[in-house]
Amino acid sequence: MPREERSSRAFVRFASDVREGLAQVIGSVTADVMMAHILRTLKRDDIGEFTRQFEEVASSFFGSSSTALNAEVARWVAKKSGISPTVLTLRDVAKGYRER
Amino acid sequence: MTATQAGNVSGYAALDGLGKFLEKTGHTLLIKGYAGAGKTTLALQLLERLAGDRGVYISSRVSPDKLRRQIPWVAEALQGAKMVDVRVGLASSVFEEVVRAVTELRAPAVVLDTWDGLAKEMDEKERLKAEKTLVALADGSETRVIFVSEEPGKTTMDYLVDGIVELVRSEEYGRVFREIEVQKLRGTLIDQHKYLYTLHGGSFTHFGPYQEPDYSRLIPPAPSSDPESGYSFGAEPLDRSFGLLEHGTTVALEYTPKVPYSALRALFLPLITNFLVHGRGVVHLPLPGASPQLLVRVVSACAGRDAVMRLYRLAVAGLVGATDPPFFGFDIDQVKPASAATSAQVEAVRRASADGHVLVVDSIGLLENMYSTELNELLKALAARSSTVQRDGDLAVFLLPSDSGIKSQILSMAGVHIRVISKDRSLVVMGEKPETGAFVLAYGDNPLFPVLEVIV
Repeated sequence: MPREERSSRAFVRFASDVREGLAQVIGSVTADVMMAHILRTLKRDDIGEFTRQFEEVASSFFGSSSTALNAEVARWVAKKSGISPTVLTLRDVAKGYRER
Repeated sequence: MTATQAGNVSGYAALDGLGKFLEKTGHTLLIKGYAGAGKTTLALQLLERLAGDRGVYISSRVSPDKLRRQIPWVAEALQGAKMVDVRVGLASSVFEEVVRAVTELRAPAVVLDTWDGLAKEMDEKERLKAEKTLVALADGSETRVIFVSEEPGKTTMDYLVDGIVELVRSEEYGRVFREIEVQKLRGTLIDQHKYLYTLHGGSFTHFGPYQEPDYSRLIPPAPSSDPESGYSFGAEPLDRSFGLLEHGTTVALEYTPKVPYSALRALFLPLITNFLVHGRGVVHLPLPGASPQLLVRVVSACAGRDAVMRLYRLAVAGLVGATDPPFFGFDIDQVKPASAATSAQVEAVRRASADGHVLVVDSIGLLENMYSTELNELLKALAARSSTVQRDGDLAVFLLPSDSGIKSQILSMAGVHIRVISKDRSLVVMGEKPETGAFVLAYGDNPLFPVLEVIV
């Protein structure tokens, strides 16, 4: 499989898992709104860029509580994807998705 | 904001702790209450006060146009505020609007009216998560979020928000009373939990605790015109609320134990003053424990020293021997001599009266205490007084404690019955005969004149 296609699939899987994780933590209604904000500002389909936008949107929504939200979603996504449960942030999880 | 001396304030500033609580950004407030309680009116007043033109009102119940028609002041006061109609929207649209208000517009306040309407469409778990998220969204932001709810009883929102006020209704003496109950204001001391309020004029106005009038600010009045058909109370708000008093009427002014004397004075002092400034006589048997010197000082300030010396007679129980006007003494052991002494004073001031009419103010509580072993004699004397008043076209006021043992007999003599009660530290006045609405008693700039605010 070409590298670009592999990367695009990883991105879609990552975004979908993050959306699911968000829905678990803050509910699907609010998760959808947050995802819409992230995707609206995304310049390219890239896991790193997605993670940065996630952090930015979470921070503008929840201020200092965004760190806890990030950790909670990261834990959920890591568990689902079989990535080490010791990860602390979504950035750590993103690395796992890229390496696959 | 308008405020009277009694502390009734349009809006919320003086509503215990709520003003201070809402000074803090990021706070969430839940306004609960039955349909028609005035939740939207209160929420919009809070929005106007906190955010002015920068506020955001999100409605799932009524269109902004309809709202402007129903609450006329909204059109002007919230002209620049953002009014969002989400009646046909999903919960996600509401959340999106709140996010925009908090993160993009940085609105000082957002009202979500009502949250339940949308929340009911979610399952319990989803609802809890959405509510937690909404509260987290406000927390740490510059925005206060005000949720309006029609759900009775406790919901998950009760535990999440920082503050809760509930608009409740109660019924007493056949009248509906509106009360705002402050249930929770995180980090703010709540000294008084319940207040009466009114929606008169389309505004939410709550009533602070009754405050004693400051008689040092008394301004002598011009005589109120007394039409042929009856006597004026001497204060336009009283005439408007209870009507004129026909010649020959006995008025029963009933009061509950917590009612301070000054509140009763607010009702009979303008009457006494009006009689005196019209050159008519007044004989006054004061309430038990009331200071005769204070009464004379206050009446003199209202009607002038000269009129008081000529036309006003104040009974002082047990005072014997020669007494100087305006005081007179009467027997504290037996009804007959006491009644004779009072009648003599009535006739004396009648002779000095410009039109031969007099006002007699009797404290039933004092008489009942003094002549407890002669209640039948007392009732006979009072019935005779009432008959004389009727015959001569005078006016009598019986100040009647609500727990009086002779209440029913006194009320049977009265053509007019006005009740004064204490509720939520406010004083409420209502006509029983004839029946009127309920009014909260306060004072304007001149403490001689009461201000009556109708509870609707």
